[in-house]
Amino acid sequence: MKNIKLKINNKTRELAVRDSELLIEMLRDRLGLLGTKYSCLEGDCGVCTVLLDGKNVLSCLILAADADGHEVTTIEGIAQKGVLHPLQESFVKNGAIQCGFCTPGMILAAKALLDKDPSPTDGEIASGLDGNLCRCTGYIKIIDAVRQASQRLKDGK
Amino acid sequence: MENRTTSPVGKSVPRVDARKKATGEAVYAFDLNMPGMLVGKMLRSPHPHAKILSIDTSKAQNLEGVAAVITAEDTFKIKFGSNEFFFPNTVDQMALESEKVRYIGDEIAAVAAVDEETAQKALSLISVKYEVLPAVFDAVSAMKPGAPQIHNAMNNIGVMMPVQFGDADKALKASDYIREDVFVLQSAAHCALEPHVSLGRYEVSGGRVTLWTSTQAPFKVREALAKVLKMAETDIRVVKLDVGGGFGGKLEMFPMDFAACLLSKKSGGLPVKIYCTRHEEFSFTRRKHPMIYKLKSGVKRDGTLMAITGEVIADGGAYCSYGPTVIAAAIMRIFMVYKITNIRIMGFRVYTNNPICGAIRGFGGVQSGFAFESHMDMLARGIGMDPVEFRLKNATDPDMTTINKLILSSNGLKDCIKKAAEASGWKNKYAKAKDGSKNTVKGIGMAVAADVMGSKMYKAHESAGSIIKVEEDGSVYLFTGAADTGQGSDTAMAQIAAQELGIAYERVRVKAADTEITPFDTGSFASRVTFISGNATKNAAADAKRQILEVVACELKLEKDELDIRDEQVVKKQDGSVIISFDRAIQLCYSFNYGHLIIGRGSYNPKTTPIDFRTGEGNVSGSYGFEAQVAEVEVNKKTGQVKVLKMYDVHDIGYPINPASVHGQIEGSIIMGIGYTLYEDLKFSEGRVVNPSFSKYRIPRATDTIPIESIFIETNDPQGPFGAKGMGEASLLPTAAAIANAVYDAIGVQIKDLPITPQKVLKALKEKEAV
Amino acid sequence: MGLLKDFKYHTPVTLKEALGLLKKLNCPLVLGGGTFSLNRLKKSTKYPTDVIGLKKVSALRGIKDLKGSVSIGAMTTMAEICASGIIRKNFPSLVEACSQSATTPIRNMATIGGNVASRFFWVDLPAVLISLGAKISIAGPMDKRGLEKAASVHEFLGSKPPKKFIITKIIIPKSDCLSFYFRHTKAMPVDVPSLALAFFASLNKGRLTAVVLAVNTTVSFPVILKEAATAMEGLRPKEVSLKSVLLALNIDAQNLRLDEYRLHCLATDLESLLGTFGTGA
Repeated sequence: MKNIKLKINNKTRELAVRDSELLIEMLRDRLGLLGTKYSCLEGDCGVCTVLLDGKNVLSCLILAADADGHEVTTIEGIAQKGVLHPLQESFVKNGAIQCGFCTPGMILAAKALLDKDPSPTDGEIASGLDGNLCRCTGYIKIIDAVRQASQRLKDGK
Repeated sequence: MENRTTSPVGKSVPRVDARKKATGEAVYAFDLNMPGMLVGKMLRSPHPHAKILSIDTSKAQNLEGVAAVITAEDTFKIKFGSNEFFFPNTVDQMALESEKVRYIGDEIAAVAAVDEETAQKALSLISVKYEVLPAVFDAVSAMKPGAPQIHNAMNNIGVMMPVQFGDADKALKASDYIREDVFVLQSAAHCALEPHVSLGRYEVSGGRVTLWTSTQAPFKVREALAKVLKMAETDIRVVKLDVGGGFGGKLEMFPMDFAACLLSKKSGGLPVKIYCTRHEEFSFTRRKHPMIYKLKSGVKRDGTLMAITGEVIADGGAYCSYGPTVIAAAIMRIFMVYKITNIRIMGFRVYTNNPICGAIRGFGGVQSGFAFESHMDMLARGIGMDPVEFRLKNATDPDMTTINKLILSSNGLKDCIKKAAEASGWKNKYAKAKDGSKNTVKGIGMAVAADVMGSKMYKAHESAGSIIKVEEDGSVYLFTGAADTGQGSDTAMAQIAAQELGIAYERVRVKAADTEITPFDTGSFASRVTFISGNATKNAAADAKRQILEVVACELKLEKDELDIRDEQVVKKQDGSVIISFDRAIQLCYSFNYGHLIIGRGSYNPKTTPIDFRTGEGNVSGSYGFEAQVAEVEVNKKTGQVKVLKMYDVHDIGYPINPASVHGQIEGSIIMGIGYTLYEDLKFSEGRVVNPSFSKYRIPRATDTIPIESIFIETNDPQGPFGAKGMGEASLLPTAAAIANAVYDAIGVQIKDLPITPQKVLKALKEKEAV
Repeated sequence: MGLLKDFKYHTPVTLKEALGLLKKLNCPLVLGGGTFSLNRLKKSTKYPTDVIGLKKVSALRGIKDLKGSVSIGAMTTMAEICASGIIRKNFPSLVEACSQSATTPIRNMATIGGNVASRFFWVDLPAVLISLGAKISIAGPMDKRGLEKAASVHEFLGSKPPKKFIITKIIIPKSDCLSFYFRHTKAMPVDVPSLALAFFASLNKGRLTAVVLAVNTTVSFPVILKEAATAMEGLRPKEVSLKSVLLALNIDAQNLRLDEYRLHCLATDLESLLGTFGTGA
């Protein structure tokens, strides 16, 4: 077992994790944060995306022990006190959510993108989301949602 | 309530389940965890074809941490099938095979253990003795005499579908131009992001079982479970939670559904969860039927389509699944699209020792769409006719009955074709001279399609039911059997209920797809939900409204038939004057004098006529949807790469209940279609899937998306709820042909086998130059 | 879920500590970014009892702008390489290769050291690193006084790797040069490349010298096109003849296990390359 100390959704936590425990297992099985989903467990689909120090990474390919000293953000940490983040609002309003399985990962990847580049073109949005598969929407409304959210964030709303 | 959206039908209201999906609060089957829950795993055949000589589970049973092991000996050995009602001879699969295995992955045993590692170890301790049999991996070889016999079907032909009307040979002779083409379609995978999951819990005291599963058709799963477990349907509860996509791959009972239930029983009632890895999803669930489609057709010089003859051979894999429906749909759709009276097509769905082919979005219509619509373009070009004009000449009309007795009442196909040509600027782009000096050339192509919107293909009836409960505080619950797998049926049903009841959309809470609580519904497939389940919901809402207005009329001494509920008010129909508010009316219902609980109920069975499978006649659906698609492509002659620049989709959807949802389905379908046309290809070697991962089986990513202009034609179907027909699959059907036809326009070669890879384009260009 | 079987995970903070573990432990797995190793591990039948993670070894990170070269810590991620002003200025072809490799989240995790150490045929960076004349610094537990050996990427891949090693940094010499990277994929950039061509040439008084054409064939370690490079050697970029380069390619191609299509891709890449020189046939 390894003792680790890290921030999860802005809260500092001290946990004991198995040596071979993956970050996705720590989040889902140990902490009950079920918003992070699994789909391929091979790094191809992006469904297990979380933010590590603000960057989008794949929680199925990171050992929990390696999150020690870092900051992890899951989909549960995006809304603040029940108020949806502009990205979440935008996804809801624009019909960018169908089955919803890709949605947590997609929103986190979009957040990492907008935090780094607040004014991406549609092409840059698509590139920023290239690690997140969606089989339902064809991505069009997802890109619309991210574009609208970026505008709203820039306008300070 | 913050928002109050009254008259929500026709508005792009946010989906009822969008917020919980955006926050990660949506609960999918894998998210369910229960005390004492065991991990279940399936033991699968490593051989494509073999006799099972013996199975010894003793070592596995004795392993510390193993709660139960099951084989066929623990079952009643009852076969099941997915198209049983109309095709009883296709009942060919057992939940756990006992005599023979027929594909790599065929399930023969299952274990339940305390954790993943123990379950895996237990599987490895099950000792199976096989006698390996010769196997066959392609449909054509499987049909030849002397091929390995997979089931009892002669020449391994599981389904034979001869479709014949008129005198095709005579009509061919009378044609001015005849051509013959062969089209080859590849296998593909659904790739729903949520893998299959089954969680079963058996209640030992009552002899009842609950199965939580990722499914599009909980009632279908219940029916099959009841059959193979020999239990009453009322003792089986199948619950659909949120589902991460289905696309036809979750439309039936799977052996893991059965195993989760039986393992739980054998474990003394502990819950057992079985899930698929991505590798297992690709290799062992369901896939698209690869097909070889031969067509020989004739036309007159004036463009009249005289006759179509042909043959389609589909590789069905080891068991039948939805094979019959797929083959039927692969042929019959032509009648919805073109006025054809002389036709002879023979369809074969053949067993092979490959993984099972089943329903996948389009039900055979994607494959046939490519074949027919490429062929139509080639026929048009053969007589020097513009493909748009050719299609307009032969397209079906509104209020017509086809040769096989389909009743196409509302039909906007011709309008779709005209509008698609107009929106895409067809006249200025098609058949234009290309600049030979440039590496890249543009092209434009069209294809059309039609789809059933309220079809009966599964049982004697295809009814759906809904119940609406109005609570004392004015809250509304809608119980519907319709299964939302992401396409938005919960939302559409809530909109329909609110519209009919005259209240705000935000009042309605949807409880769906739980076989114990919600009324029957066949499931989410064949784009049927808006039309069939929507009508049931509308009927239930109308019933609830009637009950409320009866109380109001009685209390205020008015005529019930003069009243309505609109914008959350009880009003006089004639002049819209307000009588009382909806909330007040409900209080009245629940008051001392009345105490009338408002429970509305409705069901709907689409008006169809039974199909005679000997003749192929019968009006299979209550409604039909139509569309035309135009693709603009750019082909790089140096690299062979085809880039889709833009797609235009003009669709007769009757009326859109939720426009954003309908556009979303169209966009998703088109992008999926582009994937199938350009790069999706499930490959096999000796019965084994060789690319069972997203890195080797490529599906479209955000960087592959293209501009799509999606236009509705509103024909207001007379049978549809508020005129709606539905949307689910149709936009997938013509995409491949539209792109292939556009590639022809660009470089003068018609690629007739999918996917259209750069290698094929370069090869075709080289061959063209050599001529 | 129990996706990985148990192993002991060691997280050293210094290179010395890491090498000490490497020496002491029996067949440990060395974990860099994890994008290859953890995937492989899930499907593995031969499981290590010990895994050494390098994420806490700060000595393995950082990009240093040195006098005649740039030193890239082996644990530098592809995303960090793409964002680095030093790399963008000096080695645009390396940025090109990194930015087209895999997907955004993978690039946030995958390291340059891991990409080379993986010894996979299809990974993106070895070809471009070979073209740039990159050397890797390898540290092993048996080295006296902790000295690191340097080897060119080409040598490293061409020879049997040491039994236990850690790549510590990648050093790329600076020069006044032209460098380009062309990548063919199955359909779009995010796939494993079907083929990739990395070009490098120093400019000596406006003439191409030290020309390197390294091809990622994906079915072998990167291959150097000697004849095609010779066809360009000593010429001004605009003077290079496509005809002669393609003739030379035919000779080189005899040693390549490439099918007709991928040879065709290579030829079109060379044509594009000459296009960037501002020349034609």
